[in-house]
Amino acid sequence: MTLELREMVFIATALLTTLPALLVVFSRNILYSAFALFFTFLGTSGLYFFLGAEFLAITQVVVYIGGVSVILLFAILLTRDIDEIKKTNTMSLGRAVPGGVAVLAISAVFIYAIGETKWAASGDETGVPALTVKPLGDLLLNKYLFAFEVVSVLLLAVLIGSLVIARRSVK
Amino acid sequence: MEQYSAAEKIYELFSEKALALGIPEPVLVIAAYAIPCLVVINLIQGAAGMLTYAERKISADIQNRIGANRVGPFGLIQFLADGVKLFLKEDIIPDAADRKLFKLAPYIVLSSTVLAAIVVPFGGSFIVADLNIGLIFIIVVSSLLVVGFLMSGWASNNKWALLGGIRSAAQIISYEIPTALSLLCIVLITGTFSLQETVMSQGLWPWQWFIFHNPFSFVAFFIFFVSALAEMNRTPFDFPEAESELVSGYNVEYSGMRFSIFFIAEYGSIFIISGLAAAVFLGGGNIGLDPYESPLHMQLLMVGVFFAKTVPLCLVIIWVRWSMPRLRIDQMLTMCWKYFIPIAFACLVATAIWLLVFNGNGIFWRMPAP
Amino acid sequence: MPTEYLPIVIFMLVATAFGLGSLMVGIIFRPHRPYAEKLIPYESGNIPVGETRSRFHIHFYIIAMLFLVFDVEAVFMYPWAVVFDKIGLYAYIEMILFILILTVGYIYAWKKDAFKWD
Repeated sequence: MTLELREMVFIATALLTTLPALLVVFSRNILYSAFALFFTFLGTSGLYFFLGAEFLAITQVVVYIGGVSVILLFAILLTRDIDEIKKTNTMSLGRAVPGGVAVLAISAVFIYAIGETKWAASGDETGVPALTVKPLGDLLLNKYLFAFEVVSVLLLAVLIGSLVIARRSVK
Repeated sequence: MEQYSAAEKIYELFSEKALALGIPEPVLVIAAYAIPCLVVINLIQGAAGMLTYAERKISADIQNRIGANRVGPFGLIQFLADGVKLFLKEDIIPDAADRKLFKLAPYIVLSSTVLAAIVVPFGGSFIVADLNIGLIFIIVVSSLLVVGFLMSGWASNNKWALLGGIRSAAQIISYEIPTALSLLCIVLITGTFSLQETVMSQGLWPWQWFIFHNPFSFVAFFIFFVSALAEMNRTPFDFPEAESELVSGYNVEYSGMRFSIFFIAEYGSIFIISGLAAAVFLGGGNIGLDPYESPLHMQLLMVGVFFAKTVPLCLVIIWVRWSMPRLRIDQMLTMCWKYFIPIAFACLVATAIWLLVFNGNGIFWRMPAP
Repeated sequence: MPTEYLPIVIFMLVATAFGLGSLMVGIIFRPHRPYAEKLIPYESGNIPVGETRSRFHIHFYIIAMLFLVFDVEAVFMYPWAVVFDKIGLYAYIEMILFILILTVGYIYAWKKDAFKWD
């Protein structure tokens, strides 16, 4: 594949990630925000593909689009005053100032991280493994075994916690 | 890792000539990929058309009617007439609908359905792209579909559409888990997510297929097939469209071409899922030869074998629709969460034990020498 | 991005273009005669009654949450399944532990009637 095409696809993917993200933040309709988040997740998954992390990219779609965004949509549909949905993302000075400070702080961290990372030259894929699932499986079952088992405990806690909260709201 | 894709071949075939003619390379690359895409989209459309015809004819036979018989011999080109009719219909967007989301939803549904076709091995070397993550890709596609259905249901601003969208979302996500777990039983055997490799490690004869690899993969096939019925919103799991309650479900407000996009997606996915079931469990287009070393006529024979397995599966799906009553929604959920998920987990664990005990071999299937 | 994933992008574009194209071309041929009665939401021919976007059963939400937990669990099984034939018994015991811990949660959910539609 040529470099230009690769760059074109990359820019398109980056725009697919960022433009809906802006809509998520600024849209007055909470449902538009939720659907825009879907495209942001899709774009993020595309960016993972660019990094050669195919398994992460697929997981992003399965978990975030299939799971998280559906939960978000269900949660919105469950809200009581569904006709009041246009009341989100209102702007005020009291919220804009702390928000702006947080944005500056986070971007400073990101810029620092980008500067510190040793990036491989574009087109150089020697350091990138061709397959990511198998090495990941090896690492999970050997080096990070403890983390792997702790995850199951975490999932158990999530399962029980979510049921407790949901059941309480019913009764 | 070898690259198996039709687009690469087209690129190799034409790159020298085209570059000599001064066509820029990016255009050539896009064209090389767009050609298989167009072929596959048309194939899906054709398959969807033929399946609507088959559905009408089979339902007619089952209910002792005659069915479509006016357009063409035996009504064979009825689906073309239907297509033209839908094409000429007025495009109605209700006043109360959310216009932007209403227009966007069909594209999400169509493009995610077509995406699944990328990884379908049509036999021989005919596969658009043999992704390393092919099998998970199927599950990804159904996640995308959920959002499309919810979007169309919400945007229509119609009670039935919204109910249909929500029902279909709950149903698809529930049955995604058994689908994934039953596919994992096969991944345990092959150790790869690539669909082409999965097909190549089976054989021509039924005892070389993964469905007969061990008793648990036999169960896994049925779990996959029934869960797939639920993911496609087919009877006995057709709550999202339940004609007698919700008229048509999430697409009730759609008309003309927008409706037909949903329709193509629905019947196209019957074809795609049948093809995947055939490839993963029933040996796909494998006739015991290496598809990449065989001459073209043998490859076409492999395609024939693939279709010979896919079409009966499609017909079974139609047959089930006209023979089974619809479940109740609580029965559907109980069936998934209390039966399918535990059984699928048990199958996975049992397959793992089987592979450990028999050193990776099946009843008849033998682990290829490394 | 490895070249093999380019078809995904192109497929999405081609499919969208296909849908758009057929709609665009159709504009020339199809009628456009809207009137108020045609544009109200369809409710078997009656005038729609009540609020469309009413609240619905919380059980859908519980299902979505349960799904998320089991989906993440399935995601952890993909890498396991791929390396199973190489690591063998060791991988098997690790996964059994993983599944057993979650079985506790599954039984809890069952006992709490999370799978029951009431």
